Amino acid sequence: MEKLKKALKTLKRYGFIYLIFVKNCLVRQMEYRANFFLSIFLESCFLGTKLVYTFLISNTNVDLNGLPSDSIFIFTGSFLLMTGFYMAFFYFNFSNIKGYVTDGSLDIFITKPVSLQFMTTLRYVDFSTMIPNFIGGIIILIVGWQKSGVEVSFVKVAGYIGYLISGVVITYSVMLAPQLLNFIIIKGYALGEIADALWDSNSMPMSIYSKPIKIIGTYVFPLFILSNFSSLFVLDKLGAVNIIWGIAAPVLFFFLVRLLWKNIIKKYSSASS
Amino acid sequence: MKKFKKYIKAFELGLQSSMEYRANFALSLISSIFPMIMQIFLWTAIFFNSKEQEILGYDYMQMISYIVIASIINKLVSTGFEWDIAEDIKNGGLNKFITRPVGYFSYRIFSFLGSKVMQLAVVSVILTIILTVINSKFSLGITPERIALFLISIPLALLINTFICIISSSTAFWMTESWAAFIFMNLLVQFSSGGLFPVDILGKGFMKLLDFLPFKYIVYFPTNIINGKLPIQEIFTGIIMQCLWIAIMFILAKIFWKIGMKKYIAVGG
Repeated sequence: MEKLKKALKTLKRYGFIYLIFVKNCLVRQMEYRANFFLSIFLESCFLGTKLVYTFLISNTNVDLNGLPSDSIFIFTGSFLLMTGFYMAFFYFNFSNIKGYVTDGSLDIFITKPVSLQFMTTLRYVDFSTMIPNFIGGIIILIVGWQKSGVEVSFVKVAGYIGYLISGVVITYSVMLAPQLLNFIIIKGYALGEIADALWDSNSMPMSIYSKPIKIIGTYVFPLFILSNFSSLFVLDKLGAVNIIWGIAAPVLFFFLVRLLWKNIIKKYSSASS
Repeated sequence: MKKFKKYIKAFELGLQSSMEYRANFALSLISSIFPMIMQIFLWTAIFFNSKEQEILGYDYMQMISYIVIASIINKLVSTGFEWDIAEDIKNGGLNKFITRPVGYFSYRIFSFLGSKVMQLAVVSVILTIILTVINSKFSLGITPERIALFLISIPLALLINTFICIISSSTAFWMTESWAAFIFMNLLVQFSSGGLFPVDILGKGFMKLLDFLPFKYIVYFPTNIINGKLPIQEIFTGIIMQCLWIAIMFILAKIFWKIGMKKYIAVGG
Protein backbone atom coordinates (compact mmCIF):
# COMPACT_ATOMS: atom_id res chain seq x y z
CA MET A 1 0.00 0.00 0.00
CA GLU A 2 2.85 2.31 0.92
CA LYS A 3 4.60 1.46 -2.34
CA LEU A 4 1.47 2.20 -4.35
CA LYS A 5 1.10 5.55 -2.62
CA LYS A 6 4.72 6.39 -3.44
CA ALA A 7 4.28 5.33 -7.06
CA LEU A 8 1.16 7.48 -7.40
CA LYS A 9 2.99 10.44 -5.88
CA THR A 10 5.85 10.00 -8.36
CA LEU A 11 3.40 9.69 -11.23
CA LYS A 12 1.68 12.89 -10.11
CA ARG A 13 5.01 14.70 -9.89
CA TYR A 14 6.07 13.61 -13.37
CA GLY A 15 2.63 14.49 -14.73
CA PHE A 16 3.04 17.97 -13.30
CA ILE A 17 6.54 18.35 -14.79
CA TYR A 18 5.28 17.11 -18.16
CA LEU A 19 2.51 19.71 -18.14
CA ILE A 20 5.16 22.38 -17.57
CA PHE A 21 7.12 21.01 -20.55
CA VAL A 22 3.97 21.19 -22.68
CA LYS A 23 3.20 24.72 -21.53
CA ASN A 24 6.75 25.92 -22.20
CA CYS A 25 6.74 24.36 -25.68
CA LEU A 26 3.41 25.98 -26.53
CA VAL A 27 4.61 29.38 -25.32
CA ARG A 28 7.85 29.03 -27.30
CA GLN A 29 6.05 28.00 -30.49
CA MET A 30 3.56 30.85 -30.18
CA GLU A 31 6.45 33.27 -29.83
CA TYR A 32 7.75 32.25 -33.30
CA ARG A 33 4.38 32.18 -35.01
CA ALA A 34 5.77 32.44 -38.57
CA ASN A 35 7.84 29.30 -37.95
CA PHE A 36 4.80 27.60 -36.44
CA PHE A 37 2.59 28.24 -39.47
CA LEU A 38 5.40 27.38 -41.91
CA SER A 39 5.80 24.07 -40.15
CA ILE A 40 2.04 23.41 -40.42
CA PHE A 41 2.24 24.24 -44.14
CA LEU A 42 5.17 21.88 -44.71
CA GLU A 43 3.60 19.03 -42.78
CA SER A 44 0.43 19.54 -44.84
CA CYS A 45 2.54 19.19 -48.01
CA PHE A 46 3.98 15.88 -46.74
CA LEU A 47 0.46 14.78 -45.88
CA GLY A 48 -0.67 15.74 -49.39
CA THR A 49 1.93 13.53 -51.05
CA LYS A 50 0.89 10.58 -48.86
CA LEU A 51 -2.75 11.14 -49.78
CA VAL A 52 -1.97 11.28 -53.51
CA TYR A 53 -0.44 7.83 -53.22
CA THR A 54 -3.38 6.53 -51.16
CA PHE A 55 -5.90 7.73 -53.76
CA LEU A 56 -3.82 6.21 -56.56
CA ILE A 57 -3.83 2.80 -54.88
CA SER A 58 -7.51 3.05 -54.00
CA ASN A 59 -8.33 3.94 -57.64
CA THR A 60 -6.81 0.68 -58.87
CA ASN A 61 -9.82 -1.06 -57.20
CA VAL A 62 -7.63 -4.05 -56.40
CA ASP A 63 -7.74 -5.97 -53.11
CA LEU A 64 -4.46 -5.94 -51.16
CA ASN A 65 -4.00 -9.62 -50.27
CA GLY A 66 -7.45 -10.01 -48.71
CA LEU A 67 -8.08 -6.37 -47.81
CA PRO A 68 -10.58 -4.41 -49.93
CA SER A 69 -9.06 -1.42 -51.78
CA ASP A 70 -11.19 1.09 -49.80
CA SER A 71 -9.69 -0.17 -46.53
CA ILE A 72 -6.45 1.57 -47.53
CA PHE A 73 -8.09 4.77 -46.20
CA ILE A 74 -8.41 3.24 -42.71
CA PHE A 75 -4.72 2.29 -42.77
CA THR A 76 -3.66 5.72 -44.07
CA GLY A 77 -5.88 7.48 -41.50
CA SER A 78 -4.38 5.43 -38.67
CA PHE A 79 -0.87 5.99 -40.00
CA LEU A 80 -1.45 9.76 -40.13
CA LEU A 81 -2.81 9.77 -36.58
CA MET A 82 0.21 7.85 -35.36
CA THR A 83 2.50 10.17 -37.32
CA GLY A 84 0.80 13.04 -35.48
CA PHE A 85 1.60 11.42 -32.13
CA TYR A 86 5.14 10.52 -33.17
CA MET A 87 5.98 13.97 -34.54
CA ALA A 88 4.37 15.78 -31.64
CA PHE A 89 5.74 13.85 -28.70
CA PHE A 90 8.80 11.86 -29.75
CA TYR A 91 10.41 12.75 -33.09
CA PHE A 92 12.19 15.96 -32.10
CA ASN A 93 13.18 14.56 -28.71
CA PHE A 94 14.74 11.48 -30.30
CA SER A 95 16.47 13.50 -33.04
CA ASN A 96 17.99 15.78 -30.41
CA ILE A 97 19.73 12.92 -28.58
CA LYS A 98 22.69 13.07 -30.99
CA GLY A 99 23.12 16.77 -30.19
CA TYR A 100 22.89 16.18 -26.43
CA VAL A 101 25.72 13.64 -26.67
CA THR A 102 28.00 15.72 -28.90
CA ASP A 103 27.53 19.14 -27.25
CA GLY A 104 27.53 17.88 -23.67
CA SER A 105 23.94 18.88 -22.79
CA LEU A 106 23.39 15.36 -21.53
CA ASP A 107 25.87 16.04 -18.72
CA ILE A 108 23.63 18.83 -17.46
CA PHE A 109 20.51 16.64 -17.68
CA ILE A 110 22.24 14.00 -15.55
CA THR A 111 22.50 16.49 -12.70
CA LYS A 112 18.73 17.25 -12.70
CA PRO A 113 16.58 15.62 -10.02
CA VAL A 114 14.31 13.87 -12.53
CA SER A 115 14.67 10.69 -14.57
CA LEU A 116 17.29 11.22 -17.29
CA GLN A 117 15.27 9.20 -19.80
CA PHE A 118 12.14 11.26 -19.05
CA MET A 119 14.04 14.52 -19.42
CA THR A 120 15.83 13.51 -22.62
CA THR A 121 13.06 11.76 -24.49
CA LEU A 122 9.93 13.68 -23.54
CA ARG A 123 11.07 17.25 -23.06
CA TYR A 124 9.71 18.73 -26.30
CA VAL A 125 6.19 18.70 -27.69
CA ASP A 126 5.62 19.99 -31.21
CA PHE A 127 2.12 21.19 -31.98
CA SER A 128 2.69 22.36 -35.55
CA THR A 129 3.35 18.89 -36.97
CA MET A 130 0.62 17.33 -34.86
CA ILE A 131 -2.25 19.55 -36.09
CA PRO A 132 -2.30 18.67 -39.83
CA ASN A 133 -1.68 14.97 -39.19
CA PHE A 134 -4.49 14.76 -36.63
CA ILE A 135 -6.99 16.67 -38.79
CA GLY A 136 -6.03 14.77 -41.97
CA GLY A 137 -5.88 11.44 -40.14
CA ILE A 138 -9.32 11.78 -38.57
CA ILE A 139 -10.94 12.85 -41.88
CA ILE A 140 -9.34 10.01 -43.86
CA LEU A 141 -10.19 7.54 -41.10
CA ILE A 142 -13.88 8.52 -41.18
CA VAL A 143 -13.91 8.28 -45.00
CA GLY A 144 -12.26 4.84 -44.84
CA TRP A 145 -14.57 3.65 -42.06
CA GLN A 146 -17.65 4.63 -44.12
CA LYS A 147 -16.31 3.35 -47.47
CA SER A 148 -15.40 -0.01 -45.94
CA GLY A 149 -18.85 -0.32 -44.37
CA VAL A 150 -17.51 -0.94 -40.86
CA GLU A 151 -20.21 -0.64 -38.16
CA VAL A 152 -19.72 2.07 -35.54
CA SER A 153 -20.06 0.23 -32.23
CA PHE A 154 -18.64 0.78 -28.75
CA VAL A 155 -16.39 -2.30 -29.04
CA LYS A 156 -14.93 -1.19 -32.39
CA VAL A 157 -14.28 2.40 -31.31
CA ALA A 158 -12.91 1.44 -27.88
CA GLY A 159 -10.76 -1.32 -29.41
CA TYR A 160 -9.46 1.07 -32.05
CA ILE A 161 -8.51 3.70 -29.46
CA GLY A 162 -6.97 0.97 -27.25
CA TYR A 163 -4.72 -0.25 -30.07
CA LEU A 164 -3.82 3.34 -30.95
CA ILE A 165 -2.61 3.85 -27.37
CA SER A 166 -0.74 0.56 -27.60
CA GLY A 167 0.78 1.90 -30.84
CA VAL A 168 1.93 5.10 -29.11
CA VAL A 169 3.79 3.10 -26.41
CA ILE A 170 5.34 0.84 -29.07
CA THR A 171 6.31 3.93 -31.10
CA TYR A 172 8.20 5.27 -28.12
CA SER A 173 10.04 2.00 -27.54
CA VAL A 174 10.73 0.93 -31.10
CA MET A 175 11.70 4.34 -32.47
CA LEU A 176 13.89 5.23 -29.50
CA ALA A 177 16.01 2.05 -29.77
CA PRO A 178 17.81 2.93 -33.07
CA GLN A 179 18.48 6.48 -31.86
CA LEU A 180 20.38 5.11 -28.89
CA LEU A 181 23.09 4.09 -31.34
CA ASN A 182 23.96 7.79 -31.35
CA PHE A 183 25.82 7.09 -28.13
CA ILE A 184 28.17 4.87 -30.17
CA ILE A 185 28.15 6.52 -33.61
CA ILE A 186 28.75 10.14 -32.71
CA LYS A 187 28.69 11.77 -36.17
CA GLY A 188 26.28 11.41 -39.03
CA TYR A 189 22.70 11.74 -40.11
CA ALA A 190 22.03 8.20 -41.35
CA LEU A 191 20.41 6.94 -38.14
CA GLY A 192 17.71 9.55 -38.58
CA GLU A 193 17.26 8.42 -42.19
CA ILE A 194 16.88 4.80 -41.07
CA ALA A 195 14.34 5.76 -38.41
CA ASP A 196 12.33 7.73 -41.00
CA ALA A 197 12.48 4.85 -43.50
CA LEU A 198 11.36 2.36 -40.85
CA TRP A 199 8.49 4.63 -39.88
CA ASP A 200 7.29 4.99 -43.48
CA SER A 201 7.40 1.22 -44.06
CA ASN A 202 4.36 1.07 -41.78
CA SER A 203 2.31 3.37 -43.99
CA MET A 204 0.83 0.44 -45.94
CA PRO A 205 -1.17 -2.60 -44.73
CA MET A 206 1.14 -5.32 -43.42
CA SER A 207 -0.74 -7.82 -45.61
CA ILE A 208 1.37 -6.72 -48.61
CA TYR A 209 4.57 -8.10 -47.05
CA SER A 210 5.89 -11.66 -47.16
CA LYS A 211 5.46 -13.99 -44.18
CA PRO A 212 9.00 -13.59 -42.74
CA ILE A 213 8.74 -9.78 -42.87
CA LYS A 214 5.30 -9.93 -41.22
CA ILE A 215 6.71 -12.09 -38.41
CA ILE A 216 9.74 -9.84 -37.87
CA GLY A 217 7.62 -6.66 -38.09
CA THR A 218 5.06 -8.00 -35.64
CA TYR A 219 7.04 -9.98 -33.06
CA VAL A 220 10.75 -9.09 -33.29
CA PHE A 221 10.78 -5.38 -34.16
CA PRO A 222 7.05 -4.72 -33.85
CA LEU A 223 6.65 -1.81 -36.25
CA PHE A 224 3.36 -3.15 -37.59
CA ILE A 225 1.65 -2.72 -34.23
CA LEU A 226 1.97 1.07 -34.64
CA SER A 227 -0.88 1.64 -37.05
CA ASN A 228 -1.72 -1.73 -38.55
CA PHE A 229 -3.20 -3.37 -35.45
CA SER A 230 -5.82 -0.68 -34.82
CA SER A 231 -6.91 -0.81 -38.48
CA LEU A 232 -6.94 -4.61 -38.61
CA PHE A 233 -9.02 -4.70 -35.40
CA VAL A 234 -11.85 -2.62 -36.86
CA LEU A 235 -11.75 -4.70 -40.05
CA ASP A 236 -12.02 -7.94 -37.97
CA LYS A 237 -8.73 -9.18 -39.43
CA LEU A 238 -6.47 -9.03 -36.39
CA GLY A 239 -6.79 -12.62 -35.13
CA ALA A 240 -6.81 -13.94 -31.54
CA VAL A 241 -3.03 -14.21 -31.08
CA ASN A 242 -2.41 -10.67 -32.28
CA ILE A 243 -5.26 -9.27 -30.16
CA ILE A 244 -3.33 -10.47 -27.09
CA TRP A 245 0.09 -9.59 -28.54
CA GLY A 246 -1.12 -6.02 -29.22
CA ILE A 247 -1.74 -5.63 -25.48
CA ALA A 248 1.37 -7.44 -24.21
CA ALA A 249 3.95 -6.06 -26.67
CA PRO A 250 3.88 -2.41 -25.49
CA VAL A 251 4.61 -3.47 -21.90
CA LEU A 252 7.38 -5.85 -22.97
CA PHE A 253 9.08 -3.46 -25.40
CA PHE A 254 8.83 -0.49 -23.05
CA PHE A 255 10.58 -2.60 -20.43
CA LEU A 256 13.25 -3.66 -22.99
CA VAL A 257 14.00 -0.11 -24.16
CA ARG A 258 14.24 0.97 -20.53
CA LEU A 259 16.85 -1.75 -19.95
CA LEU A 260 18.71 -0.72 -23.09
CA TRP A 261 18.71 2.92 -22.00
CA LYS A 262 20.06 2.06 -18.55
CA ASN A 263 22.85 -0.04 -20.07
CA ILE A 264 23.86 2.63 -22.57
CA ILE A 265 23.87 5.36 -19.93
CA LYS A 266 26.10 3.23 -17.69
CA LYS A 267 28.69 3.17 -20.50
CA TYR A 268 28.30 6.85 -21.39
CA SER A 269 31.39 8.97 -20.88
CA SER A 270 31.22 12.71 -21.36
CA ALA A 271 33.38 13.88 -24.24
CA SER A 272 32.80 17.58 -24.56
CA SER A 273 32.83 19.16 -21.14
CA MET B 1 45.83 24.55 -64.44
CA LYS B 2 47.34 26.31 -61.42
CA LYS B 3 44.06 28.12 -60.94
CA PHE B 4 42.32 24.76 -60.94
CA LYS B 5 44.60 23.24 -58.29
CA LYS B 6 42.76 24.75 -55.33
CA TYR B 7 39.50 23.19 -56.48
CA ILE B 8 41.16 19.80 -56.82
CA LYS B 9 42.20 20.26 -53.19
CA ALA B 10 38.56 21.03 -52.30
CA PHE B 11 37.59 17.84 -54.16
CA GLU B 12 40.15 15.84 -52.16
CA LEU B 13 38.94 17.35 -48.88
CA GLY B 14 35.37 16.35 -49.73
CA LEU B 15 36.52 12.82 -50.53
CA GLN B 16 38.51 12.55 -47.28
CA SER B 17 35.54 13.78 -45.27
CA SER B 18 33.23 11.16 -46.80
CA MET B 19 35.78 8.39 -46.12
CA GLU B 20 35.91 9.42 -42.48
CA TYR B 21 32.26 8.60 -41.81
CA ARG B 22 32.04 5.17 -43.41
CA ALA B 23 29.50 3.76 -40.94
CA ASN B 24 27.24 6.72 -41.64
CA PHE B 25 27.55 6.08 -45.36
CA ALA B 26 26.72 2.38 -44.99
CA LEU B 27 23.69 3.14 -42.80
CA SER B 28 22.53 5.78 -45.26
CA LEU B 29 22.61 3.18 -48.05
CA ILE B 30 20.62 0.75 -45.91
CA SER B 31 18.00 3.40 -45.19
CA SER B 32 17.28 3.81 -48.89
CA ILE B 33 16.46 0.10 -49.21
CA PHE B 34 13.39 0.19 -46.93
CA PRO B 35 11.13 2.42 -49.08
CA MET B 36 12.13 0.38 -52.14
CA ILE B 37 11.18 -2.89 -50.44
CA MET B 38 7.83 -1.46 -49.35
CA GLN B 39 7.04 -0.32 -52.89
CA ILE B 40 8.03 -3.67 -54.40
CA PHE B 41 5.74 -5.54 -52.01
CA LEU B 42 2.91 -3.05 -52.54
CA TRP B 43 2.94 -3.24 -56.35
CA THR B 44 3.48 -7.01 -56.28
CA ALA B 45 0.33 -7.31 -54.13
CA ILE B 46 -1.60 -5.02 -56.49
CA PHE B 47 -0.54 -6.84 -59.68
CA PHE B 48 -0.94 -10.26 -58.05
CA ASN B 49 -4.56 -9.50 -57.07
CA SER B 50 -5.50 -7.71 -60.29
CA LYS B 51 -7.02 -9.29 -63.40
CA GLU B 52 -5.43 -6.60 -65.56
CA GLN B 53 -1.94 -7.04 -67.03
CA GLU B 54 -1.39 -3.28 -67.01
CA ILE B 55 -2.14 -0.85 -64.18
CA LEU B 56 -1.81 2.93 -64.58
CA GLY B 57 0.09 2.39 -67.83
CA TYR B 58 2.70 0.01 -66.41
CA ASP B 59 2.95 -3.76 -66.47
CA TYR B 60 4.45 -5.63 -63.51
CA MET B 61 7.95 -5.88 -64.99
CA GLN B 62 8.08 -2.18 -65.87
CA MET B 63 6.77 -1.07 -62.48
CA ILE B 64 9.17 -3.18 -60.41
CA SER B 65 12.19 -2.31 -62.55
CA TYR B 66 11.20 1.38 -62.36
CA ILE B 67 10.98 1.29 -58.55
CA VAL B 68 14.33 -0.46 -58.12
CA ILE B 69 16.26 1.63 -60.66
CA ALA B 70 14.66 4.93 -59.58
CA SER B 71 15.51 4.28 -55.92
CA ILE B 72 19.16 3.82 -56.80
CA ILE B 73 19.30 6.79 -59.17
CA ASN B 74 17.63 8.88 -56.48
CA LYS B 75 20.54 8.06 -54.18
CA LEU B 76 23.05 8.59 -56.97
CA VAL B 77 21.93 12.14 -57.77
CA SER B 78 21.08 13.26 -54.25
CA THR B 79 22.65 16.51 -53.01
CA GLY B 80 21.86 18.11 -49.65
CA PHE B 81 24.66 20.67 -49.20
CA GLU B 82 22.20 23.59 -49.10
CA TRP B 83 22.32 23.39 -45.30
CA ASP B 84 26.11 23.99 -45.35
CA ILE B 85 25.76 26.98 -47.67
CA ALA B 86 22.98 28.43 -45.50
CA GLU B 87 25.19 27.98 -42.45
CA ASP B 88 28.02 29.86 -44.22
CA ILE B 89 25.65 32.71 -45.12
CA LYS B 90 24.09 32.87 -41.66
CA ASN B 91 27.27 32.65 -39.60
CA GLY B 92 29.64 34.59 -41.84
CA GLY B 93 31.50 31.59 -43.23
CA LEU B 94 31.38 33.30 -46.63
CA ASN B 95 33.72 36.05 -45.43
CA LYS B 96 36.86 34.05 -46.05
CA PHE B 97 35.81 33.41 -49.63
CA ILE B 98 35.26 37.11 -50.28
CA THR B 99 38.78 37.96 -49.22
CA ARG B 100 40.51 34.93 -50.82
CA PRO B 101 40.98 34.11 -54.49
CA VAL B 102 38.58 31.16 -54.28
CA GLY B 103 35.18 31.10 -55.97
CA TYR B 104 32.60 29.95 -53.43
CA PHE B 105 30.42 28.32 -56.10
CA SER B 106 33.25 26.29 -57.54
CA TYR B 107 34.62 25.42 -54.10
CA ARG B 108 31.25 24.06 -52.97
CA ILE B 109 30.62 22.10 -56.16
CA PHE B 110 34.08 20.50 -56.14
CA SER B 111 33.90 19.72 -52.44
CA PHE B 112 30.44 18.17 -52.96
CA LEU B 113 31.60 16.10 -55.94
CA GLY B 114 34.55 14.87 -53.88
CA SER B 115 32.25 13.78 -51.07
CA LYS B 116 30.11 12.03 -53.65
CA VAL B 117 32.86 9.92 -55.27
CA MET B 118 32.74 7.02 -52.83
CA GLN B 119 28.94 6.98 -52.93
CA LEU B 120 28.97 7.10 -56.74
CA ALA B 121 31.41 4.20 -56.91
CA VAL B 122 29.55 1.95 -54.48
CA VAL B 123 26.08 2.78 -55.80
CA SER B 124 27.23 2.30 -59.41
CA VAL B 125 28.46 -1.21 -58.60
CA ILE B 126 25.13 -2.01 -56.89
CA LEU B 127 23.23 -0.56 -59.86
CA THR B 128 25.24 -2.63 -62.34
CA ILE B 129 24.55 -5.85 -60.41
CA ILE B 130 20.85 -5.04 -60.07
CA LEU B 131 20.51 -4.10 -63.75
CA THR B 132 22.18 -7.36 -64.78
CA VAL B 133 19.79 -9.35 -62.59
CA ILE B 134 16.69 -7.42 -63.69
CA ASN B 135 17.72 -7.63 -67.33
CA SER B 136 18.14 -11.40 -67.19
CA LYS B 137 14.90 -11.89 -65.22
CA PHE B 138 12.59 -9.40 -66.95
CA SER B 139 14.39 -9.08 -70.34
CA LEU B 140 14.51 -5.28 -70.25
CA GLY B 141 16.35 -5.23 -73.55
CA ILE B 142 19.23 -3.09 -72.32
CA THR B 143 21.38 -2.26 -75.35
CA PRO B 144 24.89 -0.70 -75.36
CA GLU B 145 23.27 2.38 -76.94
CA ARG B 146 20.88 2.77 -73.99
CA ILE B 147 23.70 2.21 -71.47
CA ALA B 148 25.75 4.96 -73.13
CA LEU B 149 22.81 7.41 -73.12
CA PHE B 150 22.03 6.49 -69.51
CA LEU B 151 25.64 7.18 -68.52
CA ILE B 152 25.41 10.61 -70.18
CA SER B 153 22.09 11.44 -68.49
CA ILE B 154 23.22 10.64 -64.93
CA PRO B 155 25.90 13.38 -64.54
CA LEU B 156 23.50 15.81 -66.21
CA ALA B 157 20.78 14.88 -63.70
CA LEU B 158 23.27 15.35 -60.87
CA LEU B 159 24.15 18.81 -62.21
CA ILE B 160 20.47 19.84 -62.44
CA ASN B 161 19.97 18.74 -58.83
CA THR B 162 23.17 20.55 -57.76
CA PHE B 163 21.98 23.83 -59.26
CA ILE B 164 18.52 23.41 -57.70
CA CYS B 165 20.34 22.95 -54.40
CA ILE B 166 22.39 26.13 -54.93
CA ILE B 167 19.33 28.16 -55.95
CA SER B 168 17.34 27.04 -52.92
CA SER B 169 20.33 27.68 -50.64
CA SER B 170 20.44 31.32 -51.81
CA THR B 171 17.16 31.89 -49.94
CA ALA B 172 19.41 32.05 -46.86
CA PHE B 173 20.43 35.57 -47.97
CA TRP B 174 16.87 36.77 -47.36
CA MET B 175 15.74 34.45 -44.56
CA THR B 176 17.64 33.88 -41.33
CA GLU B 177 15.95 30.50 -40.94
CA SER B 178 15.68 28.99 -44.40
CA TRP B 179 14.92 25.41 -43.28
CA ALA B 180 11.34 25.59 -44.51
CA ALA B 181 12.44 26.53 -48.03
CA PHE B 182 14.88 23.60 -48.10
CA ILE B 183 12.39 21.05 -46.83
CA PHE B 184 9.74 22.30 -49.26
CA MET B 185 12.18 22.19 -52.17
CA ASN B 186 13.34 18.68 -51.23
CA LEU B 187 9.77 17.46 -51.08
CA LEU B 188 8.94 19.10 -54.41
CA VAL B 189 12.01 17.56 -56.07
CA GLN B 190 11.34 14.13 -54.54
CA PHE B 191 7.72 14.12 -55.63
CA SER B 192 8.11 15.63 -59.10
CA SER B 193 11.36 13.94 -60.09
CA GLY B 194 9.83 10.47 -60.00
CA GLY B 195 11.96 9.37 -57.08
CA LEU B 196 8.93 8.09 -55.17
CA PHE B 197 6.96 6.56 -58.08
CA PRO B 198 6.72 7.03 -61.86
CA VAL B 199 5.21 10.49 -62.24
CA ASP B 200 3.28 9.61 -65.39
CA ILE B 201 0.85 7.51 -63.33
CA LEU B 202 -0.52 10.84 -62.08
CA GLY B 203 -2.00 11.53 -65.50
CA LYS B 204 -1.32 13.50 -68.67
CA GLY B 205 -2.23 16.85 -67.10
CA PHE B 206 0.46 16.51 -64.46
CA MET B 207 3.00 15.40 -67.08
CA LYS B 208 2.19 18.47 -69.17
CA LEU B 209 2.91 20.63 -66.13
CA LEU B 210 6.20 18.79 -65.56
CA ASP B 211 7.23 19.50 -69.17
CA PHE B 212 7.79 23.12 -68.12
CA LEU B 213 9.90 22.18 -65.10
CA PRO B 214 13.35 20.55 -64.69
CA PHE B 215 12.37 17.96 -62.08
CA LYS B 216 11.42 14.96 -64.25
CA TYR B 217 14.91 15.01 -65.81
CA ILE B 218 16.47 14.11 -62.44
CA VAL B 219 15.13 10.57 -61.84
CA TYR B 220 12.18 9.77 -64.12
CA PHE B 221 14.08 10.43 -67.35
CA PRO B 222 17.31 8.44 -66.64
CA THR B 223 15.25 5.57 -65.20
CA ASN B 224 13.08 5.30 -68.31
CA ILE B 225 16.16 5.37 -70.55
CA ILE B 226 17.55 2.21 -69.01
CA ASN B 227 14.29 0.34 -68.45
CA GLY B 228 13.43 0.73 -72.12
CA LYS B 229 10.24 2.75 -71.72
CA LEU B 230 11.48 5.74 -73.74
CA PRO B 231 12.07 5.52 -77.51
CA ILE B 232 15.61 6.50 -78.64
CA GLN B 233 14.45 9.71 -80.35
CA GLU B 234 12.81 10.92 -77.12
CA ILE B 235 16.01 10.16 -75.22
CA PHE B 236 18.01 12.49 -77.47
CA THR B 237 15.41 15.22 -77.01
CA GLY B 238 15.50 14.59 -73.26
CA ILE B 239 19.29 14.93 -73.09
CA ILE B 240 19.10 18.23 -74.97
CA MET B 241 16.44 19.35 -72.46
CA GLN B 242 18.72 18.33 -69.58
CA CYS B 243 21.53 20.51 -71.04
CA LEU B 244 19.10 23.37 -71.54
CA TRP B 245 17.89 23.13 -67.96
CA ILE B 246 21.48 23.06 -66.67
CA ALA B 247 22.17 26.30 -68.57
CA ILE B 248 18.98 27.92 -67.25
CA MET B 249 19.64 26.79 -63.67
CA PHE B 250 23.26 27.93 -63.86
CA ILE B 251 22.20 31.42 -64.99
CA LEU B 252 19.46 31.55 -62.35
CA ALA B 253 21.89 30.43 -59.64
CA LYS B 254 24.37 33.14 -60.70
CA ILE B 255 21.64 35.83 -60.69
CA PHE B 256 20.25 34.79 -57.29
CA TRP B 257 23.73 34.58 -55.83
CA LYS B 258 24.70 38.02 -57.22
CA ILE B 259 21.59 39.68 -55.80
CA GLY B 260 22.03 37.76 -52.55
CA MET B 261 25.64 38.84 -52.13
CA LYS B 262 24.50 42.46 -52.19
CA LYS B 263 22.29 41.67 -49.19
CA TYR B 264 25.05 39.78 -47.38
CA ILE B 265 26.17 41.60 -44.26
CA ALA B 266 28.84 39.18 -43.00
CA VAL B 267 27.20 38.49 -39.64
CA GLY B 268 29.43 36.64 -37.22
CA GLY B 269 32.55 37.16 -39.27
